[in-house]
Amino acid sequence: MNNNMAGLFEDIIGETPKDVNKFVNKAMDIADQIVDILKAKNLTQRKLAELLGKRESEISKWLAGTHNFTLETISKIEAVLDEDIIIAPLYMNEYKGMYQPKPNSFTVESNPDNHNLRDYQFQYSYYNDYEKPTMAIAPSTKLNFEEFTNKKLDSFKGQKITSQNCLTFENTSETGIAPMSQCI
Amino acid sequence: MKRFKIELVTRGAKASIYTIRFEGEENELRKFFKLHTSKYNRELQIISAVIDNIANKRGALNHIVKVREGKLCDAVVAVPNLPNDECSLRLYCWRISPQTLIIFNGGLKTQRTYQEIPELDIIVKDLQKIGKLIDEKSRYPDPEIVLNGNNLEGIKDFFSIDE
Repeated sequence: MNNNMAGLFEDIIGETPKDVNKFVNKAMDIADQIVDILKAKNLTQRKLAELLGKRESEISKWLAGTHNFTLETISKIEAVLDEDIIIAPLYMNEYKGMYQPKPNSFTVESNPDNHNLRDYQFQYSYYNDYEKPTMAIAPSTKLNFEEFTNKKLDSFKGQKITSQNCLTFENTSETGIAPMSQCI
Repeated sequence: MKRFKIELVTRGAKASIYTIRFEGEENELRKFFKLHTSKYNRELQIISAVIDNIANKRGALNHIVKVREGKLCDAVVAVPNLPNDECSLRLYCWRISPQTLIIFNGGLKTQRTYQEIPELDIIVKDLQKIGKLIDEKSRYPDPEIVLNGNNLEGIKDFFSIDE
């Protein structure tokens, strides 16, 4: 095995059988799909558990990446959510479900220090609806934020940002924060 | 004091994956794989595929990694829930953001909580110390460690935590 770290990882990945990679990818795709449908329908994991007559902890486990879903379970989830979760590529063109993926929404907020917005020296993190921020983003990235918030900053002068007083953006690109969708 | 470095494992389109190397030792990810490779080869393959998937396809989203594995307010997560319920191999990580994950070490979680397993308790406590230090060193106005996109900057030197 290669002694360099990247090499170690590449070796491990290289040795992983194709079916394992396919399984992990499909399991995660299915979990993502269910999570996305729940979000689109404004349903919680608890509600899904209730609809299926299961415990919330079990649903949480199902959605944690590598659950080996049976077709029976998937069909039950599809039935209670009234949406398709998996579709055979052969019949993709015939898919007429209501569900369409929506762009992620990102929230930008200050770190707990609550720096003053006036001098723009505050820290912030971003995360989507269900992610927890843990660290500030680099100042270079902050330019994006300032660029899109210049018009709104006046109304925040002298205020402190908290989790109750945050700015929500729509993520429209792979790399960063794009136009502001709403400002509390 | 224990000195450690943060090392890049892989950088993908969706996330950068790092690990920790204590001074004079192999890095923690390597230790984890070496220790469990003979008995849990398939589980390790799944974990590798998950890490690859996080890096290249979807990032360390909340429902993919197992959150709240440490204290309520910290960023300790575990990768992943394995499909086989009988195997509770946990690989603990510190999630800085969905795009930046530091993989540490782990083991078999045979009890309900990691605190009940001395080896895991040590691992998670070390990870919490490391995470706390990273958090402190990333504070403005003079951060030593900066998250630029999904790239951690300022990690060339060793850092120290209490033993």
